[in-house]
Amino acid sequence: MAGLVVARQRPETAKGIVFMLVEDETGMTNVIVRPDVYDRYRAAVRSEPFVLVTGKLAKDDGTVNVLAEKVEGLQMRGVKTSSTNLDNLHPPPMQFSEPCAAWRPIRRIGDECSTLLHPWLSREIWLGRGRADRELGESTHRHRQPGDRVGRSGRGALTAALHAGLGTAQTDTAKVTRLVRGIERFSRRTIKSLLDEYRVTHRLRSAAVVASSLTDPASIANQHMRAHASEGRLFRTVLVDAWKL
Amino acid sequence: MPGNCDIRVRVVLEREVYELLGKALRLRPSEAKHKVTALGESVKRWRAEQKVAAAAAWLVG
Repeated sequence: MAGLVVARQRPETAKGIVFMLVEDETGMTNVIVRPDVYDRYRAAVRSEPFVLVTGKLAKDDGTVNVLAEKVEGLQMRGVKTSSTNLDNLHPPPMQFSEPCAAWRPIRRIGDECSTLLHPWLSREIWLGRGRADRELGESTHRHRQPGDRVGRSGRGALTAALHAGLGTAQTDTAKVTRLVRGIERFSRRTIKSLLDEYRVTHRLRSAAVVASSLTDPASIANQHMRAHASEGRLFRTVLVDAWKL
Repeated sequence: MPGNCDIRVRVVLEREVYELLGKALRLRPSEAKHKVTALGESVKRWRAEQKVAAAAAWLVG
């Protein structure tokens, strides 16, 4: 696979494993780089804005990752990309000491078992209905279930609501409005379905939405990351609003 | 804030969830996390985001 490196992370607890979030025109995929692979392709993993990753596709409990065996800088029209002319597109080189909400392993958006939410948001919904130690095993619920149909206003809108393309924000306000309405409709339907299901057996009192970041997108200089943050805020907002209906 | 369904909705920041739960339970954040982890011992796969979601559910419950 090949794409733009949206984020890089090497968590202290991951025993030297590096996680790269790579985006292409179809969505985002988490790439896992083991320490031995990292040692071999260190320069590319750390600093290439566009990468070509060779490896194995790993599907685990609905999560799709690529286990990297080789990581190379991507050649564009015979010219190797460099960080100097792509400063507005890619995240800075690895800054291991600086945690970032988006630099986390995520599920690929749009996969069957993945959820509605963007990596900037939490991906699971739990319903508050009393102490969590009661019937714990039943109280988790994914926003989307395998086999759910997102439809025209779903998947495309989820991955591209505020992006016009790689690294560029969507400026067509009519298109943004249409896509946002689709996301709102999908959220309302999903939450209603969730409520109907739980109300059969439980009295619902409260809900929590876990967000990875509440950063104001306007405060983010990088256009690409700002678009992601805006999507994160959008999905959080529509989810909260859907609960109120 | 109650909605039409009288369901209170609270947005919780992921990195603060154990700290908040710890305060609510009068425990240290690490102890709160251990408590949540212990709740899921019977669950086959108990991933980090599920634990965070459980902690958030506990907070609003």
